[in-house]
Amino acid sequence: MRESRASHARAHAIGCVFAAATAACNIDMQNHPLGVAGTAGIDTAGSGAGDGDGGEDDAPEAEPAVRVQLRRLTREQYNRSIQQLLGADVALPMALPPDAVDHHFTTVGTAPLPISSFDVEQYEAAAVALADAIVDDETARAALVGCDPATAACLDGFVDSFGRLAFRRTLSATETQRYHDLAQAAAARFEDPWQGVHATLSAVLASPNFLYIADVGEPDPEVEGRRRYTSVEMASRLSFFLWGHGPDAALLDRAEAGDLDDAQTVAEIAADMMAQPAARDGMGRFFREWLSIEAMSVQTKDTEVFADATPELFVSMAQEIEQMVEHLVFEADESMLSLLDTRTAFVDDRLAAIYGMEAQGGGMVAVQRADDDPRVGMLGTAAVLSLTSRRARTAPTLRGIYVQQRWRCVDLPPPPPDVDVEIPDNPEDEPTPATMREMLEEHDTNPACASCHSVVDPLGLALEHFDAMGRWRSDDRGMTIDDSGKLGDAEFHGLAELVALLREDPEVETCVTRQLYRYATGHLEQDDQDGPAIVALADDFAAAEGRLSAFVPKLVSSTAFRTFAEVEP
Amino acid sequence: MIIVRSRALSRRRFLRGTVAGGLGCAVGLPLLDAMLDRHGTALATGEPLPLRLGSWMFGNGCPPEEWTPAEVGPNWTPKGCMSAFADPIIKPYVSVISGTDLGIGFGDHITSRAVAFSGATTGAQQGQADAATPLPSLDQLAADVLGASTSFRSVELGVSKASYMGAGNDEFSVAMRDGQLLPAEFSPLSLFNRLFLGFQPDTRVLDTRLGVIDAVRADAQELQARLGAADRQRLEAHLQGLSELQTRLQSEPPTCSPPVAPVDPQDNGANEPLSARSQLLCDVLAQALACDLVRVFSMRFNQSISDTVVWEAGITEGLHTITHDPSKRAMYVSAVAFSMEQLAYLLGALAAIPEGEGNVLDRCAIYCSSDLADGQTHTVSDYPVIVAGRAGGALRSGDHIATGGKKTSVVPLTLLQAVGVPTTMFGDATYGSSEPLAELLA
Repeated sequence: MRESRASHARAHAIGCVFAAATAACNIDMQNHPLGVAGTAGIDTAGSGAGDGDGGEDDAPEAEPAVRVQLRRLTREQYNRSIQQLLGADVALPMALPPDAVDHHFTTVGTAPLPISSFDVEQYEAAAVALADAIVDDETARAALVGCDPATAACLDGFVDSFGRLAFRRTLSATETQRYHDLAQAAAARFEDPWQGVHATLSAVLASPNFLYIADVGEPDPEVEGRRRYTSVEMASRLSFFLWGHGPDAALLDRAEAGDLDDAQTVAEIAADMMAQPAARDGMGRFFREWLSIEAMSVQTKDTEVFADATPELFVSMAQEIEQMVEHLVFEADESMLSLLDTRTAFVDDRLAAIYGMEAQGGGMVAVQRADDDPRVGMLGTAAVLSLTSRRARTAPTLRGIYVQQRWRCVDLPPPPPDVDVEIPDNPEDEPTPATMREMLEEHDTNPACASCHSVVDPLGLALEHFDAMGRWRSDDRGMTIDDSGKLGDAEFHGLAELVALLREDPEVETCVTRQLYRYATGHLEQDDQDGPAIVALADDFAAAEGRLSAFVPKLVSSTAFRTFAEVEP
Repeated sequence: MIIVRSRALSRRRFLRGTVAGGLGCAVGLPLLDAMLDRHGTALATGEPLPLRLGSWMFGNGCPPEEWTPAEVGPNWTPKGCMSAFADPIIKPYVSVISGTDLGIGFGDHITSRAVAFSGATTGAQQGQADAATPLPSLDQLAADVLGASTSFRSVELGVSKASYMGAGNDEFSVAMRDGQLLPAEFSPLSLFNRLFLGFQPDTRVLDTRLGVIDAVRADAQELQARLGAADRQRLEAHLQGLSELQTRLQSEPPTCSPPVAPVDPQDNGANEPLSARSQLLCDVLAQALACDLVRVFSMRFNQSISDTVVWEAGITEGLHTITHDPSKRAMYVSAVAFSMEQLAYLLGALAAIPEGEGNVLDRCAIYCSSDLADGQTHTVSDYPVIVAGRAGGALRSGDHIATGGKKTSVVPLTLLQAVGVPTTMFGDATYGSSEPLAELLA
């Protein structure tokens, strides 16, 4: 098992390259969100993001990305932090700098983004608007400050405690002086102590100390040339990963006491943090991004082909995945891999119609599928089968890519630029009806296509019994469906056999480990740096039987999560 | 109305007058006569009337058979994609530049977009020292010069947020700076508020806000000292943004009183309010250009590879998907024609604002292009390029110029020089140009 992981850790990009020759591949893989892991529309050159329009990381040999010490908050992290600081009811700013997505994750894509003047302007305007909202609301401001800011002690105390939470550390003496002066000057100028609060909020929430997570680190006493994140920095690393926002005062107390320098203590604290409700938000975001759950909820289909393709149906589809995660991972504390082969479905009336079940009435309920049901796990949900299809037809290539990218971490380059589209979007436009297997034949015979498509098409073709909405079909417009497929050298038939292979596949364990690592660190691993650490962590994942509750403490207390290589001065 | 004709009226003084007097005034565009010299041909300060530069991008290319006019010279007839330019007021301002080539062989949307707007590829050439630092786009080069004397260096706008099918929103513009696409503004109301209402007449509020920014700046400087070189540089950009913000807060408010604030259009079901958003943004933009709040803009109608649904043209599928379906060429034409209608709307709005002896469009140079030539086959030869406006007389307009294989970067270079940006080179050594397109110069 370990050998297999080690061999894969070096290069998780498969050895498929596109040939320069004219190819007649279809466009399934091209330019679809599931074929794209690069940043959405931006080209963060040097960050390892793809510069093609369809592939994942199409430059696996690119220069190692510099690990940024200053990680921009994602919108989600910003919003959750604002709610943590100002209360859940505060109106969140509408205009914020956009996130970037890299390898499915906003935490990876957004962290290294450069900063533009417009970004700074939006952050400042948002801070002023939030300060307005709080100070104009007598109830909200009293709740926030908790004392009468007309007294210097109250105002100064508010600056200290609010600043500490927002900056995720105690303010330095210089900062304390600066912010006390700012607040007192504003209060005096307006002859209104609440304007001192306003100035404090406007400044703190526009400060780089709030907007960026500083991972400066300190020399690691254990290994020369290595740095470790400080105890205080570890608090933010844990907290943004597990809660989706910054540390609370209690966690900062422990951090500032140096408790988080100790790996065992980090593991214990992480376990405590995961037991808190906020962990559903923080960790839930991981699943939403890894599995593209949000994209599942906003699909559109050709309504002339699928009359039931309403917006509500796609929301239901996404909810089923959310429920699976909630039920299996959080409540039952089962292996994350059981998402693949669970026989528990979550069904409301809309989904029941897709699944050919009887309507239950009311909301979403858990339904146990029979052991011989050909539909199994998250890959058999309408959400995934539909997301990985086109508007009117299935797309075996997309389905294969979803499996390979999300569950096996296989990077795929973009298709050749001169592909010729042979497959009409709507099956009714075909000159002669043909099965997908027949139409995708060129992928197999043309070497320019085959090097990549042989990795993905055989997975998707085995799922052809499910149509573009995820409905079961015994045949394709009267034509027989051949559901044979191939994963590596292993041959199989249909979804259930594919899922059984994946459950035994060591690459899947390594990949889920890798996805968690990327999301948690907000950093794309480099094979020659943290690649081996991921292999070791995958063994921890296996030892934890894939249970998030058991694995996360291992992950966050690992050397890879707690230390980093010395950066250039 | 407090207009002192005996001497030039400073902007701040004018605004103080209107605010203090509570006139609720509605001073019409363009620049007030009081701001102009006696002939109305220059600013009263003696500066010439401003020149402006803009870029306009539509994603996913166009069908060449319905793009390039059959006739060369001034008597060209717009084909399907350009039917909006048949308008007799607009057509004399529009030049079609055909036959240019990006020089990269084939396009993948992202690299070809970069070459079309910056004259350089995006880090694709590994091993070069500047591989990770793509060059700025033409608008940002112009912003460094033309933007120095206005409240806003540049504005970046976007209409469709659609990204790859189902891949969430794309809220980046086509403006490139520091190796990055700048974010775009999508809300006409936010744009209006920023441009026209951003100044602060209450000195207590202004001073406090400046003090707040001083504190933030001090935070940034202290943080900077703790970081490695790369992150110090990123924070430098933050500091730069803070400086610009402080300058702007203290700058003189608009010479024109704010026009009526727009109401942001709402999505129509699952459909984006494409024409409404585009036209409202362009209305605000035209007013801001006329008021000389900003001289540089970029607008990207839809992003590279976007599956924008151009529902107002009767299309129900995403544009990128359509471009790759040979049976949907007619839809493809309709979608491109729709985005050109929106460009034509902007041109019409600019042409409708008198300025000096002409109108605002006379003093603009607008570069319109895409991220591909033909989106179906990803070609980058016979690249789609339109130039609109006359750059104060420096540009010839209204012609179809067939270049016969020149690099596309020749056009941005010509425009930059036409608006007075002192550059002799646009783009990098491989894809850039150093000689302007003579046929485009008046």
